[in-house]
Amino acid sequence: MPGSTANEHLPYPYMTETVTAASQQNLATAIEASLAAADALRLDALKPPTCVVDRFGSVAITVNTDTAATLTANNFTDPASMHSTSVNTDQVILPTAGVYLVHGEANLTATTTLTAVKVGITQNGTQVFADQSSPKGAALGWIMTTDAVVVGQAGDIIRLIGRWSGTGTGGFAGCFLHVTRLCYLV
Amino acid sequence: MSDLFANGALMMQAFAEQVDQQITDLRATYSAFPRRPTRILGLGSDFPGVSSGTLTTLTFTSNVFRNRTPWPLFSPASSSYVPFYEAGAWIFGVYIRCTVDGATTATSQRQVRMVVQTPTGLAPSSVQTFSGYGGTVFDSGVAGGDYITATGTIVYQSIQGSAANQGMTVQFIHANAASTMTVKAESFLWMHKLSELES
Repeated sequence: MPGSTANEHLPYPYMTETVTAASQQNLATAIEASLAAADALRLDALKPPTCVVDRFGSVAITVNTDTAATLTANNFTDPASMHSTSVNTDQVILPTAGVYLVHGEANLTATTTLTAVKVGITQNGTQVFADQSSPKGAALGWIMTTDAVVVGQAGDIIRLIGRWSGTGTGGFAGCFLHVTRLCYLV
Repeated sequence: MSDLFANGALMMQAFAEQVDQQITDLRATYSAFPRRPTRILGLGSDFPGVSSGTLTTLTFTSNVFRNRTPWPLFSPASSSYVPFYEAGAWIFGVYIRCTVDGATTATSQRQVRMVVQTPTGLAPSSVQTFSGYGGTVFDSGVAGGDYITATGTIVYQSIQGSAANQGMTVQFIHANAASTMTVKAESFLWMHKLSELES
């Protein structure tokens, strides 16, 4: 009956036992398993779930209406389950529970006048934070950013929303959403 | 011959225990990284009646999230100062939703200020005594009130047990002369440690 170490339970023979090829093999196998488990922790720590998605190109928004941005291009998504460029493109789905840093950005435009713009972040359909501005012109559109944190559970849906007030027709001229986990909930 | 086997077994045990310690240390390091000190505090309830031009310090009393308990208090304790947990590079921010209590002064300003300082103004000579951050919006007729988010970063160097340690406070001011304003309950501040200071 071999002994084992306190934390990783690596097996070793007692001094009254014979060192055999099998006992050496058992120790090597146990070390390999422990290192693999530690490596999984390393990857989870240094590669937190992250999604960077965007859209270049116009999407119309009805005036004075909160509208979710459809994000059809991925710059980076790991794991892939966080976002699809073809299905429910307005959704970023949190893969694990955690506190997430969310940065949203949008260029909001109108063809005639642009008097107010807002970008916001929703979690499961509820706005959790936002920012706004009062443009002085519509010629270049108005680029807005907002960033803060959300406390999320696996499966929660994050969306970037935009809104504009003014005249003519308006909408997104481009938008960007970055979601990355800052820490565990425990 | 038996001594040889005994030495072999002892060598394996010593080797296994050394490897055990090193893997345990690795696990501790990797486990700590996604658990860096983080705190989110909500306003908890509406803060009404803020007069135009009055710089008002907000007290965030609702613990939305924290992964250290207890989170240190200021010395002297002050509920409106939220201290950083420990030395490090920190990112922090605030979200404010505010509404007018009566009439609206068109295109008037709303402003949030995050101030990192000590309650006493004292600080280590190598540390900034005051750092200000914030954001401004104008009333623009957006449904649901007005919205501000702002973020900042700071290198925070604590002194163990010192009253000169720094914390963050949030102030609100507006120029809606036509009526007072309310900062809404869902407003929150947050802080997260990004990295250690030592190499």
